[in-house]
Amino acid sequence: MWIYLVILASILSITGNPVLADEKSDDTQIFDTQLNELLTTVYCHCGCVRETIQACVCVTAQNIEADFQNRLLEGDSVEIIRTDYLEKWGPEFSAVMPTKGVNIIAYVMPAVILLTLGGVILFIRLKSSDNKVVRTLPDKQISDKLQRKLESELEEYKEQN
Amino acid sequence: MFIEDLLVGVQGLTAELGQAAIYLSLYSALWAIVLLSIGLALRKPNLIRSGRNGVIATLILISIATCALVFGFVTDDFSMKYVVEVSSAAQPLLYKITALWGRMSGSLLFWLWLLTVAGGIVVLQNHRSQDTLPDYALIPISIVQLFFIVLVTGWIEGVYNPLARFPDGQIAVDGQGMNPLLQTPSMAFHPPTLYIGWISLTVPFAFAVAALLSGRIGSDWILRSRRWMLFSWIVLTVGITLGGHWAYQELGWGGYWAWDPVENASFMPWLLGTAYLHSVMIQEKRGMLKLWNILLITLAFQFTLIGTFITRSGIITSVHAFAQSDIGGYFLGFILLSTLGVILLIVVRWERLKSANRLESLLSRESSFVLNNWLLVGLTLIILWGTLWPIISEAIQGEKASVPEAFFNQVVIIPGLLLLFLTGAGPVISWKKITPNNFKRMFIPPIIVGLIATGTAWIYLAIKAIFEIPNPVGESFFARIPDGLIFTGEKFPIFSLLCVFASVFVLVAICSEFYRGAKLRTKRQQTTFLKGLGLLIQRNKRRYGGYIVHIGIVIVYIGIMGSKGYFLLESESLKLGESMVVGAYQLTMKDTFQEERENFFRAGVVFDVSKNGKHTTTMRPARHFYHKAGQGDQDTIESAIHGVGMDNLYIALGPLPAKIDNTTDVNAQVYYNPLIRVVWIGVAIMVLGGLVAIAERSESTTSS
Repeated sequence: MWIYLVILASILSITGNPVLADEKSDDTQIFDTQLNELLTTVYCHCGCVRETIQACVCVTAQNIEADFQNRLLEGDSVEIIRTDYLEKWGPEFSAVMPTKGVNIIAYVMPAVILLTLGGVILFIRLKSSDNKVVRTLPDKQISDKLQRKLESELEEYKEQN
Repeated sequence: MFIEDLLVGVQGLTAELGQAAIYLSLYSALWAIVLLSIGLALRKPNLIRSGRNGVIATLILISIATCALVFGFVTDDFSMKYVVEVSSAAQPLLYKITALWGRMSGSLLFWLWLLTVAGGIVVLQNHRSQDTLPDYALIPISIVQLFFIVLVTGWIEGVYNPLARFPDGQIAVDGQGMNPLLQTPSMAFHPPTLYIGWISLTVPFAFAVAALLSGRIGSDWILRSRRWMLFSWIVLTVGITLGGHWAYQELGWGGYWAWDPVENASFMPWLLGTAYLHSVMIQEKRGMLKLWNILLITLAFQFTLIGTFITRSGIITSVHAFAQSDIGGYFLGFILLSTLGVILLIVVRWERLKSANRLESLLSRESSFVLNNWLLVGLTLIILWGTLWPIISEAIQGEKASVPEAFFNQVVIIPGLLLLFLTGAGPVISWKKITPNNFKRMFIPPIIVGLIATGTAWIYLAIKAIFEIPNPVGESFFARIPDGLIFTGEKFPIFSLLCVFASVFVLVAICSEFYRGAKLRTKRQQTTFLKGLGLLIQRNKRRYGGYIVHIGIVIVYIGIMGSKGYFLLESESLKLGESMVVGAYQLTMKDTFQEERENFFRAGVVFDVSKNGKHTTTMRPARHFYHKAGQGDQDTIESAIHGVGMDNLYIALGPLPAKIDNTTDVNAQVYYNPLIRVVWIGVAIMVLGGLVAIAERSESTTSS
């Protein structure tokens, strides 16, 4: 890790200290961030299925964006504007799925699926090893013998090269 | 006049002949099922031969029906309801032919035709063979055919016979034309490719059922269906990618994958097919996972029907809404019945399905394949869960929730990365049990190179982040370093770094395998390294074809990481002469244009693109207005895409008036998509690997 820090410091010392001019005022930056949050968290209702206002290039999306801008300028919060939009068009136009309420089940289930499947595989593996210890013993002995032979041949091969 | 009358007469005759062929095919499919079942049960070769002829008869009859419909399209037979719905006189010939699968009825007939072709190939492949396993396989194939024949007869509610004509000899003046979104070259090839992929999955499933019916649960059915499975996997890979490419070019949102329900529907059988291709190797080598393989191929087949159910039923909102109808219920019924049938057969053959061996160590190639199956099946179920969540949430709370792309990205990323790691670990780990020697030789070098690459990527991203952090007045540059090192901002790249590590690990592991093998061959054959490499691949096409596929997968992952994680988007309204900036590129609106085409009107904008003040290229994004033949004012986005190395500069235009001029305000959405070409290259490598693997003849094919 230290070697990377040294390389990083060297690169930085070569590249110097770039002064990044902050072109936009703080207010404009906040406005842009809020507008962007709105545009990326609701879907357009024009018929372009599952496209956020930001991604959709239809007239409806343009009008919605203008409306969001006006309401932000009037002092409405992001949350209020989004809630109004979703109340008007329905919850299926939300492009985010908050981790609350019934949605928690949606987020938890993938882990449950993986763990359950993993559990089933482990259970079958343990069960099969209980059932077949005797039957598989000779197979294992042969396997070890073959393995030793294989390893010795490999060693020979390496020595030859 | 005489020629016109003659054409109308021929059109009428062809349509009637096509309909008659569909009705007759009901009997031929039933004939095949009954005769094959009785013939195999009583061991009567004559009856079996007659059953095979039934399969061929179905192929001929459905081919006649399909040709009749294509003839209707090509000759603009507007006495046919389906032709009026999806074609028009002005539609270019290519799209008249592709209109065959433009809507429900025609796509079902096309699906059925492909299925009969698959049945015909199975008969022809084995017509001289004494082996009855393929004859057993023809029974489930014919049952699936029968289901589709019933759907296209027009007897059930929700779908009409594609060859049906208007009553009382009515003829429409012109057709409505196909959905303009479908009138693109990608769409001409994407649906048939997917259909072929899905349908060819029916054959390995049929062989699995044949194994259960005949009691021959060994590796025979796997060997006989191996090429079908690989073919299906290759075609599905191409089909899914063509769909992504279509979305990228036509939908205007700058992406190729959004976890739309129908995208998911095509992806799930692909995942299950991939799992199956791995797990059958364990059955072939160790006689294990017999039951699992049958379940897996059954699931893969059923998921092709589930995909159709999701697309056609309209239960979930999707970009494929144009294909909706009421037949989802019939698909669901067929899925349940066929699954029940397989379960019953499994119960009957339970004793023979037990494994001959067991997993000896959790650190072995078999275990890595089991892990791979766990992740692939897990991913399939997770994607199914996300796809169905709107319905489940509606059942729980009364409101249909929307499942955004971000949800899928979040829940698949960890299993996806584990899978990527296994792509490299699986091929280099030894069978039965890993030895310390094997671990040291195969794993340590890729891990070391992977760590070095990850460190380098971390430095690169850290420097980039440090330079991008806003610099408040008076704050020292060095004050930003701690933030930069842990990557401030929303794009915390821990997953990118893990992806870099796993990708490099896999590439090094697999390339070392190639290098070691090729070096040995070079030495033995006293030839050049490249020839040695060729000989190596030729000797074991299946194994090394698989490795090439793995390399392709790694490359696709890298492309996805770049294009999904680091794209730039700017949207601005511009007038003539105005500019906008995206990344290092400046785009200036230079001109507008409009052109009349065969069945649409094209209006767009010319952008002058420059980098560091130097002209780079000219881009011409547009919109197409389909104003002919009842398509109203429907317009489509025609993105302009410019390749920059492995990246793309992408412009999509907002709404435009059809009569555009130099005073028009234009809304331009510009994306800079890094590494997106890497995705297409990766897929091409995957397909190449698949083709190498399929070239190997299986033992059973060779012997027969």
